[in-house]
Amino acid sequence: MVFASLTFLYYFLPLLLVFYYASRSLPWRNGVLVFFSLFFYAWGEPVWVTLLIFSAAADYLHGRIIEAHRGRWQSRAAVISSLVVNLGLLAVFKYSSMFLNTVPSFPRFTLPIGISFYTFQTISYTIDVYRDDVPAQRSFWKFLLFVSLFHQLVAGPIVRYREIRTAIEGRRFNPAQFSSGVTRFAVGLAKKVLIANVSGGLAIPFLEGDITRLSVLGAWYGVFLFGIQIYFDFSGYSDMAIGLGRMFGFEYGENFRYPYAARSASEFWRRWHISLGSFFRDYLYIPLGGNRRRVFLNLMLVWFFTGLWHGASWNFVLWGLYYGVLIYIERIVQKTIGPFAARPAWQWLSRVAGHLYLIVITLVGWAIFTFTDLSRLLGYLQAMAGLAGLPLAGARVSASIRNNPVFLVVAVIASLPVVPRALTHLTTRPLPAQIRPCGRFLLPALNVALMVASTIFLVGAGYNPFLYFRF
Amino acid sequence: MKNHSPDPRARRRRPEERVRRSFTNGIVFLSFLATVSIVNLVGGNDAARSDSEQRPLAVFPRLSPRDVFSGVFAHEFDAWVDDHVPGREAIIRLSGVLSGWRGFTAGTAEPGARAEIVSVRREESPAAAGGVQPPPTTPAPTVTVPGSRVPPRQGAPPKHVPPITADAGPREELIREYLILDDRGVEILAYNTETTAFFADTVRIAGERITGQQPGTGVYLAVIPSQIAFLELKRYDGIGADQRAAIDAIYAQAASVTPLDLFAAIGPHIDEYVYFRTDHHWSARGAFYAYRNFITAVGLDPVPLERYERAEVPGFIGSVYYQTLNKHLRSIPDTVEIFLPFTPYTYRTFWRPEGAEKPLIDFSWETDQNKYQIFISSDSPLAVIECPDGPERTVAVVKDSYGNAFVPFLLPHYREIHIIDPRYFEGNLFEYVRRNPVDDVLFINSYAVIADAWGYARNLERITGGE
Repeated sequence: MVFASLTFLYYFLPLLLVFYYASRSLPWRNGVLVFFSLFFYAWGEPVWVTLLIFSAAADYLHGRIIEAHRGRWQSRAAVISSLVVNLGLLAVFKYSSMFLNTVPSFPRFTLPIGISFYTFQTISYTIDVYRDDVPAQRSFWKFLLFVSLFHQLVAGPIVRYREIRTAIEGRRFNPAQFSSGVTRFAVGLAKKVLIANVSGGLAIPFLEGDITRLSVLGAWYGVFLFGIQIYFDFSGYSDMAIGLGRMFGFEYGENFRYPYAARSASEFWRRWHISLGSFFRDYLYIPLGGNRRRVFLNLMLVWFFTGLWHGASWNFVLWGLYYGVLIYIERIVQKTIGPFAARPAWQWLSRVAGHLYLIVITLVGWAIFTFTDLSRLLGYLQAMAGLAGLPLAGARVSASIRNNPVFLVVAVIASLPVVPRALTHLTTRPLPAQIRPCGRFLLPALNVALMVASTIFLVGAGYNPFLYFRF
Repeated sequence: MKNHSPDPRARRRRPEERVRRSFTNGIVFLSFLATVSIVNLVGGNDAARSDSEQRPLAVFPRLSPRDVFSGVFAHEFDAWVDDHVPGREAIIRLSGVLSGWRGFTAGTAEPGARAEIVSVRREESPAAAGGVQPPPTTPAPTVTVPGSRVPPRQGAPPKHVPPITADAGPREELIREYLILDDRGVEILAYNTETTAFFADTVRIAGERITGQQPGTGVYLAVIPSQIAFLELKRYDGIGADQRAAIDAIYAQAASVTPLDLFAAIGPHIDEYVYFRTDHHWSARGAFYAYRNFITAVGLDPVPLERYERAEVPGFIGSVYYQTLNKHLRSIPDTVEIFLPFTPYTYRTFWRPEGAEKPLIDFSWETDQNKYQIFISSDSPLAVIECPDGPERTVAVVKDSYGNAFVPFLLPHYREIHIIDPRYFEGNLFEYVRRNPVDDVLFINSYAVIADAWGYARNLERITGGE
């Protein structure tokens, strides 16, 4: 099931809220959440829900063994076993087709939804227990709740056990938390439905059409639209997850912090999919030696796996290594010209240059990310670079820009930290006297408006007029 | 220094105020969810078919272990929920209006100022009983198969109803692009040299076989350019394929048949109402100019348009609107111009082996969304017109829906007109013309069906392959 669907919004969520808040005790509430989470997962993955339960059971046992034998070889064996099981699941279900596609007898698997997220969550759990950062969970049901919690199960953020351990053990209804969850959910849904989906629709002729009919500007515009789409899609999903978490008393860490406001690749990755970046930092980069030794090798390894995590295709690996190389170069540049650029006279220039640099590298990055077919990727990059003999601009791109100025401006503004700054500015001032009496209804009205507009677009998305004349 | 709440009492009230606001926000949200959910449950629309989409709506899925474990149940349940939202058609129209807010041009209808490219991703397939209106559930007057020359045997009238679940080629998911330019919406078409070459080859082989089987038969090919080929596109020049080059290449490759130059036939009349503004079809007037070209090529004298009595059906909002939901197109409906046949005829369509008699100009479609179906009462796998007063001459027309507006003009020239639609016809064309000898065979279809889709050409190959 997906959040941005009528089934979720108007069947699943209301039923869950009723059952959850009708249950008075925490064990019952946890039970309701586990049941609904497994149902949510099984809706899209009726068979592989067993894999989820297996993964949870395995790491529950690993955690107990690690704790019971702390400091002994059994503890080390359990954490290695956990890594083997989880990475083995990923290898078999996600990457086997990539590496073994020449072996005809090897069975082909469909990728179970969310496997990349929940295996990383359980890996972080066993490592944290091994490091004695967190005690092992003694109740299997509570551990299953951590693994299966539907909010972040299929698309993140990657939540670590220690972040929600206290909430699993005990949480109380907090109206302010529930209310902020509602707002966060409505905003996330609108980001997904009103911006990401629309941008995806606009990008179709540029990214999926005939490359030879593109223009140079059209090629850049296509990946720009993709950049809008993927940011609002992914961060909208994270917002919905964070919002849903708050509605049920859980607090998840932020996963996006306006990445397009960054001025370097390394800053971009501190703002983009934060839970993934911090996972690789804590569980791979630092154990490898981090910044202390073999920095280049460490970076390349981390970014190889970061790329590979995104999908079983070489373009994702290329995309990861692309950022690895950029981040390495940035470190060198920072060391050599950093002190010079930090001078007040040059600060504004470095800021402007940083933003321009980020726009260019992320758009090229999105081209690498979106084309799984490497020959098509090459053709598209040639088109972007102006090496494909295409005109500078074309009718399609000018029409698209002329037809969608409001959307494009709103999308760009919403991707920058302009709105929260404006809201902070507004909310620290008293409301004008005329609207003060209805002040408490402004936010609810805005949320309902976002829900209504999103629902209208979701219904519209199901519209599928039959092309009766052409088969 | 500013102090926004100097009153200490106000400061004390703040936490309470915050809780009140939180409650309000939560309760309004929950009320909204509850209201929509309840309205959805009790007021769900139980329509079986969507007129605007010309497709059957999803039915409630069967709950079986197999469907549940394969994920089919969940998928079909989601589709059922989506298709049966209360007020769905109105909400969809509203989504079209909201989409218009993406730009500044929404709401202004100044000619010349309006230009928009709309891209849609659509699945094209036979989709069980999808495209054309299925045969009426209450049978139309049943008649016997006319004469001995329309055999009820193998190859002729279809055996199943509806016969469109036959192998009509795989589903194709295609991106469609439409250009809304001033007062009309047109599809931007590609030129796929593979699909067009496959079509041309299929027609060439069919032409060779027909003339091999019945020497002296005239075989003609008319590929109808779509409207965009005639428009002055100004800054959008070059946005679509060069249809003239594409059609010339098809004609050159299909060398066994006589090509009809419809650019020359329609081009001089492009300022007349020869194409609809909101629909992808041509009008009867456009079809008339093609007819004049065809009948001259056959060696007969065309009947002038003035000979016909005219009728009009206003308020036709066509397919391009329903594909794009462009608000402007909805505001400028088309008028269907009809030229009423003046010669006596009987017309039978064969969705069932026994056939059904229908009017050639079927005004029962007047109230339907798709008013183009007035012409020959929509598509059917096989239809036969008998003109008792017509000269001893017979024609087989192998056509897509563009042929529907064209066929009625043939009445004065033929005793029998056999209309075959390859998309639904299950028999074999050669077998059919062997049993029903014809003087002329005309392949007539739009460029749009072969521009970059395989379906039509594959169907044509299916009915012209083997025996």
